[in-house]
Parts: sequence; C-alpha cells; structure tokens
Amino acid sequence: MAYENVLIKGCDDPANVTLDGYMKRGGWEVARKALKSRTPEEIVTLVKDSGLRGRGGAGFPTGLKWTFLPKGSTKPTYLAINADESEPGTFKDRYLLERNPHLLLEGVVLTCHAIGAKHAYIYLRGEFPRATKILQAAINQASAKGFLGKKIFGTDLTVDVSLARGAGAYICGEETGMLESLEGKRGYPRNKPPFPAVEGLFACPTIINNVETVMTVVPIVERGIDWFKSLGSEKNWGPKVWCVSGHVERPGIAETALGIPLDELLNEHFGGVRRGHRYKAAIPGGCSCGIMTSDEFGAKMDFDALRAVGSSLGTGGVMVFDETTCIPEALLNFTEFYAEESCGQCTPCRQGTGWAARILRRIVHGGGTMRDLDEVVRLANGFDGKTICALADAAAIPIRTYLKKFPQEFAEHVERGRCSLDVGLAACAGNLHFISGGH
Amino acid sequence: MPTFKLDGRDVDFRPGEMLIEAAARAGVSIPYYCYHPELSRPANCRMCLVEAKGAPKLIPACQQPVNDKMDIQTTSERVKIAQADVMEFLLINHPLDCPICDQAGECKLQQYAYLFGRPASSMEEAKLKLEKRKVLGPHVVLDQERCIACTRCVRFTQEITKTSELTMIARGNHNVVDLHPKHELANAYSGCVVDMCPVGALTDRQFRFQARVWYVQPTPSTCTLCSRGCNITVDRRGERAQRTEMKRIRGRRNPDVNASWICDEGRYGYQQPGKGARPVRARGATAAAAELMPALERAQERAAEMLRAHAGQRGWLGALASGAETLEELSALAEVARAADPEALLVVPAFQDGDEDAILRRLDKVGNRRGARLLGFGEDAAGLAKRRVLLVADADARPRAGLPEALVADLARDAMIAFVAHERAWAERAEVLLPLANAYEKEGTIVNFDGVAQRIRRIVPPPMDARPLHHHLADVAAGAGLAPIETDTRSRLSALAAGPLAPLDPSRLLEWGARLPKERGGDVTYFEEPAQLFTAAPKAYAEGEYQPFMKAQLPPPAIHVGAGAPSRDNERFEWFGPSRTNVEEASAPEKAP
Repeated sequence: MAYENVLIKGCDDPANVTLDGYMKRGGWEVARKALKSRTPEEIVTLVKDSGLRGRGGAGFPTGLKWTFLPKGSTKPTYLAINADESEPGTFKDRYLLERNPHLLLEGVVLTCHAIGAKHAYIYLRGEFPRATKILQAAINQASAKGFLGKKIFGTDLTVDVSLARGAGAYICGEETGMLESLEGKRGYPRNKPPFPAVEGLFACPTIINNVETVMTVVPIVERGIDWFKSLGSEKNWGPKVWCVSGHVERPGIAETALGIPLDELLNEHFGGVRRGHRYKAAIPGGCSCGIMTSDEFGAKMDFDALRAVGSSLGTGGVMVFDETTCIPEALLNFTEFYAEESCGQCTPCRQGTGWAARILRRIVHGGGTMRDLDEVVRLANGFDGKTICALADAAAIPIRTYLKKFPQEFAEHVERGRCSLDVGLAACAGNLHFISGGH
Repeated sequence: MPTFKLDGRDVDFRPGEMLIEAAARAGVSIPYYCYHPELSRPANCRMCLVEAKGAPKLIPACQQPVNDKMDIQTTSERVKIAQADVMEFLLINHPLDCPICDQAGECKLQQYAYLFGRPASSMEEAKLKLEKRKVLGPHVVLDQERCIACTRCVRFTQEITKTSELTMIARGNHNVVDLHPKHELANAYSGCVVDMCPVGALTDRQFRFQARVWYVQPTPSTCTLCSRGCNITVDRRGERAQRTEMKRIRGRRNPDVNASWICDEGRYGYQQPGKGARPVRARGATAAAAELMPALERAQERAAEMLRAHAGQRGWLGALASGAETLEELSALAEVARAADPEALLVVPAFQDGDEDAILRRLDKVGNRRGARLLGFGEDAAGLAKRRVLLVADADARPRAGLPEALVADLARDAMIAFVAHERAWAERAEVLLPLANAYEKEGTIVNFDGVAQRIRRIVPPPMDARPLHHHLADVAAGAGLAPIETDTRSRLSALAAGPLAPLDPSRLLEWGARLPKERGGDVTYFEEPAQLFTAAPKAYAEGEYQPFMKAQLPPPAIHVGAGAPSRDNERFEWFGPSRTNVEEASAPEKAP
C-alpha cells in the first residue's frame, strides 16, 4: 500500500501557505467539524488512545501529557508550541512552517479546544525569518476569517495565537528554557518538578508540544485511531516527517510511517548514498542521538527499536556520513556546539562540555594522548545526568557512542596527530557546517 | 511530625521543608554553594546532589521538598563521585590564587576541596582568562575568574533589593556575573553580595588586602546606627590595646531581625573621620589640663555647685541622650538625674535621617529607641530649653542629637556637662566635655524599635580615657555627693531585667536576642540560633566563623579612674556561655548535651 502524505501534503504548492490554497485542499474543515461535534474530553481521549508520541525528540505520549493538567485550576491554561527547532541536522519543522502553516494553526485550534487553552504561543527559532513572515501572514488571514480569535466557527471557543522569536540559543528549545525566554527572561532551564503542565508559562498550567506533534493531531481527528494505528508498529504509530542531510544523493524531506528501516528510508526516498561512496555511519535524529554504524542501518526507525542499537529516534533529522567523514572531527564539531550552547547554569555542564571540547580539539588537531580517550569518556560520565536539563546528557551521548563504535579512528588520530582519511580536515568541517544548520 | 528515611534512619521533617534543611536539623550536613536560606533556589551548583531510592538521577537536596516516602542517601558512592566531579569541574577554570585571595580561609571552594575533592585534577588545558578586577560599585570589586556562577549575588539584587544591577552574561564556561550596561552596584545594600559570595569573586574594596581572615577576631554584635538593630559580626585585628583595629563588619543571620543582610551605612558607618579622637575639655582650665582627671574633677565641682544652687528646687535639670547609649548607660543617666532632681526631664530626641525602605533601613536613627522609651525618656526636646542645667550623653558618631540648631543655642543657661564620643556639636556649648565610649567600644544591651533586646559587644578598647557613660556618671555622682550608682554593666542589666524589662532573663539573650512583651506582664520570646546547614567542616573553615564568646580574647582593661570599685566589664559575661559546640569545651563535663 502506497503511503499517503498527510503532513507534507500540498507542501510543493506555493499557494498552500495562503488560506485559500489550504482550504482548496479541504483545510480547516477538520477543525470546523470537530469543534461543533466533539467535546474536549473526546479529543483528549482520542489522542491518548491513538498513542501519538511527541515528535520533538523525547517521544513522550502526547495525550498522556495533556491529562497532566491540574483539574479545576483557576489559572488560565496555555499552549506553547515549540518551534525553536535547533537540533543540528533537523529542519522538518522549518519545512512544515514555511509550507504548511495553516495545518499548524488548525492543530493549535484543535489542541486548545482539547486542553481548554485560550492563548497559544508559538516560539519560533530566531533564525527562521522566512517562517516567521509566512506564519504571521497565515495567522492574520485565519484571524480575519474568524478561524482564530473569538467565537471560532460560531462556537464559544477563543484562541489567540502569539508569535515569539528566539534569539539564537539552542537551550531555548529545551521546554522550560523556552518558557523562561517566552517570559522575557534569560533562557535558563527550570528545575522539575513542578512540571510545566502544573506550573509553566507565567506560572500557569502549560502544555508544550512540538510543531509536528500538533500538526499530527489534525489527521488523527480527521481519520481516527484505526487509520493512525495502521501506520508504524506497536507503540510507535503514525506518520513521521524525516529530514535527511549529509552524504545522500537527494537530501531533503520525506514523510513515511514510523518504523521504516533506515536503509529503506535512505534508499527509497533520498536516493541512497552519494554516487561512488559507501555508507559509514548515520545519526538518526539530530546530534544528540547515538551514532549508528552502517551495519546497523537495518534497524527500524522508531522510538523503541533504535534503543536496541544504542541510539534514539530524536527528531527524525537523519545525518548520513559516508567513508570520507572523519568521526573524531564530527565529534569535535558537535561537542564544541554543546560547549557553546550550554547555558552555563549548572556546574557539570558549564565546565564539563568546555573541557571535553578542549580535549577533543587536541585529539583531532594533534597533541592528544591515549589517556585523553579515557579521560573524555570519564568527563562525559561526570556531567551526564547531573544537571537541570538534558543538554549535558545530550552532550555525553555522542562522546560515549562515537568512541565506542569508532575507537580505531580516535586511536589513529592520536597516533598520527592528524586525520587518517585522505580528505582534508577542511572538507570534513565543511560538510558538517552544512548539515548542522549554520552553527 | 512526619518522618522520612535519611541515611538509613528515620528523620522528622516539617511539611514543605527542603531536604537540605531537614537534613541539617537532623545533624546531616549536605554541601552546597548556590543555596541561600533567604533567596530562591536555582539548584545550579549541583553540589548538594543526593541519592533518592527509586529516582534514576541524583536529586538536588536544596530544591527538593521532603515527603514521607523518601529514602535518601547522602554519602553513597554515587553521591561521593558526583561531589568529587563537581569539585573538579569547579576548579578547572578557577585560578587557584588562594595565596593572594581575600576569601582564603573562609572560602567554600577551599573547604569543600579538602572535604569532597580529589587530590589532583587531570586538567591539562589552559584555563580561561576573564576579567580579574572589575569595579562594580563604590564597595565591591569582581574577579570573574574566581566566580563559580552560583548566582547568589544576582538573585540578591533581583529578589531582595529589586535593583537588578547584576546579571549573568554569555553562555557555557564564559557564563559570568557582570553589571548591566551603564549600571553600577550602588544600592544601599551592595556590601551584602560580598558576604554571600561563597568564593573570592566578590570582595570588599575597603577590606581587600587589609587582613588575612585567620588573623582577625570576629565578635557577634548589634548595629546601633538605626532603630532596626541588625545583627552583625565585627572583625578586629590585633590583640594589644594600642594596636587593635576594627577591620570590617559583616551581616549576621538572624531571621527575626535582619535575615542575613545589613545596609552599607551599617557596614561602613564605623569608618567615620576622626573616629578615634575623643575630646576632653573643661572650660576655664588650662590647656595642659585637657586630660581626664582635671576634667572629671571640674565636672564633679560643677555638679556639686549646681546641686547646692538648686537645693530644694524641682524641674531645673534636663538629661539629653542620643539613643546610641546602652540600656545600662541610659538607666544610669536617669538614675543620677532623678536623684538630683526628681522632676528631671529625660529626653532622647527624635532623629530621622536618610532613607527608609521595606528591607531593613529605618528613618528613625536612634538605635536604642524602644529601650529609651522603656526607661522613661521622652522624644520632645522643646522642654529642655527651660532647664537651667543639662547633662548630655552623645555616644553617636553622627553629630546632632537630631536637635534644631535654634534649640541647641537655647539650651542650658547655667551649666552643661556633656559626655560625647565625637568632637562636634557640643564642643562650643558644654562647660565640661568628657570622652565617651562609642557603640563598638562597650558592652551593653539595646532594644530596637520592634522591642527586640540584643547585646552590643566591645570590639575594641575605647581610645585614651573614654569610658561608658555609667562609669563617668558614677564618678560625677560620687563627687557631687549623690548616692553611689552601680558601675558593673552586668549588675545594671540584672536590675533592669527585674524592672522595666521584666520578665527578661538576661542569660538567655545570647547572640540572637529576645523579643520583649508588647505590654507589661507578657512573655519574652527568646530567639534561637539559626540552623547551621553545614557543620561537618573542620572548625577553622566552618561557616559560623566566630568562636564562642567565652573564648574571645579581649584587649587589656581601659584605665579606671575615680570612685567606686574597678569595673568588671572587661571580664566576659558568663551568661552568654559557650553558644556553639567548641572542640575544647565539648569535652568539659558540665557542658550540656
């Protein structure tokens, strides 16, 4: 059975960003019907029973998260959409925002209806000026038409949508760091508990969902649970948008059901490895996931199966490395990224990531010792799991997995004092700068 | 009280209490940097991580409310490794310039490095270079390399003073404390950030490079510069009388009075110009007679003359005090004045000056305000103009007594004897000037605006011939033929405790004082020592810094003159007792558990 796109449907049509273009494809009809025919409880139950897992990286069940809202709270409830897509190698949300903004807004209206929120904030990454323009235009059009604002579709539902832009900090993609930034403060992640569902934005109950997650709510409401569970595998159901970068023939975006094997995904949808080369490794969902060697490419791309190969699904931002990629150089690039993006709040992360980057720099550029290889893993274990947010944990994962799966390359770097590959360092670095999205 | 499991035993907790606080009450010390009892809890230093059974990660004890299902390990292998890791991370970019750092000796980094750190670090990389001496304001200088980014100072300016001069800038390991552009740290409490900085990042521009902290002798006392009565610790350097010098004043924690803060006026106010000099003068005497004995004899003569001149009369005598005098001194003044003239007018004039805010500072600058009222001193000075003879006591370094100039010019047509701690204000008017000990030079008790009775302590000996007021008065009274008055400060307080301060038990004042009843016959509330969160450290590094009172070594006694038995003021007050567990005294048999 051929897969039918639901999230990137119409994205190749430039008119899709306008309200008319979107409505020509039947857009806004799902919300129009659901607001009149379904109670909030029904939608929450529907999403909960569908088993939709958050597409932002952690894979937490969305419906379950919605039920964490305190009952009978006198405070307003907020919906915050995390559109601060800054995980290196991930650009699916940018694609969706720039080409299918009304699907997001429709999802926002449905979600607000379900959780009882009157105000939704969309926190856009600061480096998305184009998406900002398009989304703001879409909000204006939808508001003018009465799809946002007061008395939506003649019901009593009120949903106001505000756009907020980040200022270029990776940490503001962490949900509580994002809340602090939305409140106008420095993007320092908060201690949990209290969790945002209880005490989030402006100390009010807040649900934070990823762009793709909220978009997926629309087809679930439209097509029902049976359709949703016909895609993917046990506990990993539904459609997924993939963004693939690196050494494939046609880097870009594709949508499939969850659980497609990685080699099938790459070969069928992205043209396979670039001509004349062979796969070496891949990162399945942004740089915070463990690396997979080419032997492991048969693994199914879902939240649970990737655990078995020491990785995780993350955001679905796949980075493919062929044999010209220098793994230590890649690790240095990512670790420098974490060292720079650490907010500096917790001691282990602030000092540890910077220290690890300095050791890796020595390993890569000469001057490293074999002891450094153990040392950098010891450091990673030292800052892993001891901080307020998961940035330190994310920084520890590549260090551990790269050294575990490619120890020979690191040892060669130490012994020769330079890269053992024939390509120069500049070539490696150039590739990585391209795929890590401008950082 | 509900209980939870802490290191294998059942421990009480108060609902809502944080783990670190409940553990401290149970005698379990958990190390911390960023936690401060008066500030919000960001849990960013990660030093207080402990292991909770069932939790996948270590949890920060400072930020975790206790519940009865908890089973906490504070010294498990995982916790020890985490503590050593945090210490190692904190020190990799720290300059380790302890030999030239003012904080050395009272530094949490040093303390915890000894207790929890690894003996060596494998750090081989170059350390970060940051701003080494950035002047933040009139009192504080910042060393960003020493900063551990605990954000205590930032939170203080945001949450307590609400002035927000400080912030964290940059990210990663360049994340440092800095001023907002075009701001300076010049709020009225700026010195507090030095007190609360756990390392040597923020230092006091006045105290910087002035003394090593292990050479200073800290004494707990009370500030008298306004009617708040903030608890302070005063550090003195040098033991010999002629060399002893006050080095700095720090805030001392007392949740019932001043939390942990003091204002900059209280912190730096003792550095008044001419603080050491004391006037001694008897009008009509030769210049060579500018010494205590001739001046005192002159005062005795004049007092006797006045008594004779007004024999049998009433309402001729006025007594004016500044309110910076202790209860013991003021009561002596009242006693002598009333013995001479039963209708003597007793006044501690209202003195309102400077700013008032919702934090600590009060407009009313009279330190012993409620105390003066309890002893029968009024606030209206206008009536003094009618009094022929005046006794003036002004232990305050701020020249004024809060009196309008016109009134001062109108005071005391026949005679004025003034006991003063500064040279100004009364020099032109008084017939005899006698030197008085100021608030850092004598023992005594004051009662603040709120009815809290607290001790002030003798930090340094008074210069030259200066003495507390009741010593001078005893001599004047004896010379004038009045009934002798008690010169022993302790006995004076005992008498007061049985009278206007009843039912106060002076032995229970300790360093934290007691709240007197609002009305006579009520109960006295005695304050307790605030919980010490970290006590497991070696004594030299311990946080409560100062030694128990009994151990304090005082300079040799000041000179005693005139009638009466030599004062015992230079002996320590037995009442205070050892207030804190002390290594030597803990072994003494009479020590209560």
